[in-house]
Amino acid sequence: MELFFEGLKNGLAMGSVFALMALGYSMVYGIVKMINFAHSEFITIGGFVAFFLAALFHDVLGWAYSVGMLLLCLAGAIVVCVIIAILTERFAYRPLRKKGSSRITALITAIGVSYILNGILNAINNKQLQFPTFFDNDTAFIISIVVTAALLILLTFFVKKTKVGIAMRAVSENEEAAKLMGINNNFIIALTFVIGSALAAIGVVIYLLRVPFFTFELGSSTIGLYPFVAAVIGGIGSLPGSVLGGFLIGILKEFAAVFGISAWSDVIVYGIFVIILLFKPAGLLGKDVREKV
Amino acid sequence: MSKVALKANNISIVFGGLRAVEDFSIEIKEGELVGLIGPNGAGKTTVFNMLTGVYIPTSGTIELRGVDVTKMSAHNRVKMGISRTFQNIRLFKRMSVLENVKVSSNINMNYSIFDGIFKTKKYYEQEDKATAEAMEILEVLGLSEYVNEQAQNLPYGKQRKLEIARALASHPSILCLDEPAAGMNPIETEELMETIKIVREKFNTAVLLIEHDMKLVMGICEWIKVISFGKEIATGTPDEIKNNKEVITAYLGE
Repeated sequence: MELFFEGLKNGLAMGSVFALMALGYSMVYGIVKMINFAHSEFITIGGFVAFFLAALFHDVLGWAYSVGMLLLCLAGAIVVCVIIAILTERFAYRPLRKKGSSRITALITAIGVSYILNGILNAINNKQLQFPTFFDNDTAFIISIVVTAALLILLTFFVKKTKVGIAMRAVSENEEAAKLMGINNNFIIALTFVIGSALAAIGVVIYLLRVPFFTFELGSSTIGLYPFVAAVIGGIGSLPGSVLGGFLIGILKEFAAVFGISAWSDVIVYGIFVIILLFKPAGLLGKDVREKV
Repeated sequence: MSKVALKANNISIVFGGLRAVEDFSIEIKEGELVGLIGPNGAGKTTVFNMLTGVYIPTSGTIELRGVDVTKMSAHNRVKMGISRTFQNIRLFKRMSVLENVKVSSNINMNYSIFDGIFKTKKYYEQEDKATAEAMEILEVLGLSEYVNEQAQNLPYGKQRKLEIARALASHPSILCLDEPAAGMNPIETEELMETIKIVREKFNTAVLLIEHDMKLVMGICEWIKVISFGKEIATGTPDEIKNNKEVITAYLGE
């Protein structure tokens, strides 16, 4: 029974990280129908910035050490991730959109951007770095849950009830019509990338609170495809779906770890992934949209 | 003399080797109700696409309320007072009727993202005003009872009206309606005629109407322009157009 609660607790914490990261995949897909594979590198970059700041200010902050460090890492990671996301969108994806390229071109470009960023990062450094511990495990757990819940509430309100949120949904449904109703679609798309990458930055900092090891493979292989899979299981394009998917995968993975079958965790996660998609091809909360021919 | 809402000077567009529209000119004054007709493939929708910024004309200029907008992007043109509906309905299907209209209110609101996140007074004031205005438009178009319904669940005729409602929320001085009566039965068309008249009065906008239903066009338009194969062939009052030889030839052949 103790193992069960241990698994649940770790699972919720890990799930909240996956959920925050999955939202980025999901929102971007929802709006430009493109899978932004560079998202995983945004995660790595966010982690690196956090690590860098933590190493730099390790002894400076004194009594406010843990909270101050957390806020500093969050702010730094968000700013850098957002800048990289804006540049990626502006110089890699927007020109393709303008030329009306096919989705497969956009996808390959995304994979290309991902490898480029990954290659640069690994060329700089490929050692494992120890991230300092700011909080004990229980506090880190509470922070994960509270931050994720707060962000989700904020995001849901933002998308449902503000003019920009409504504009986002309009662009997502029909870009052309939205443009002709006065919506600056390029701004809205860039903003979506900004929100997605900021959430990824927050997600990775929260992750490092509990798992304090940083490598330049963090986004591409340690966390890897899990957030993407979470977005698809939940129903890509659906915000609550991504969150559900994130928690589902987080909990499955951590249960596997607690019960000593870590080696099987991928088999379990992806097995369930395949089964869910067999029965619900659009994902758990995805809308089943058939294209009219 | 009233002011000019929309003016196009000799606009042409070439696709590949095809001159889809050639030297099209039009001047619509504030509050006028004008028809644009012509046989299938004449280039009517292409004219709309140039006016609203979907296509940039190969040559010629477009002015809205006296400002040259020829090179302006579509979303900025909306701010200059042009707005449209589509030949094949393009609503935001999975959004509510109210939200569809409020998409167009976006340009009338200027609160920042942070006002939105922290729900400041400015956010509430502007959103409430936009909602009230959207409700008023929906009322005029007889869509009040569907406010929270998803757009895709509306009957066809109501969807057409919702497109008009959505176009009105950006406060246009010229409203372009692309075949609003397409697919409607005679009773619905009759109703639409009334609606267009009311909309023009109430929202103080000029209307440019593409329509195949001659009864509708002849019934409400003050003057009409006819194009065929991308070129203007006639301009005049409904009676003049009805009796114009070239127009009859264009529609029925020699």
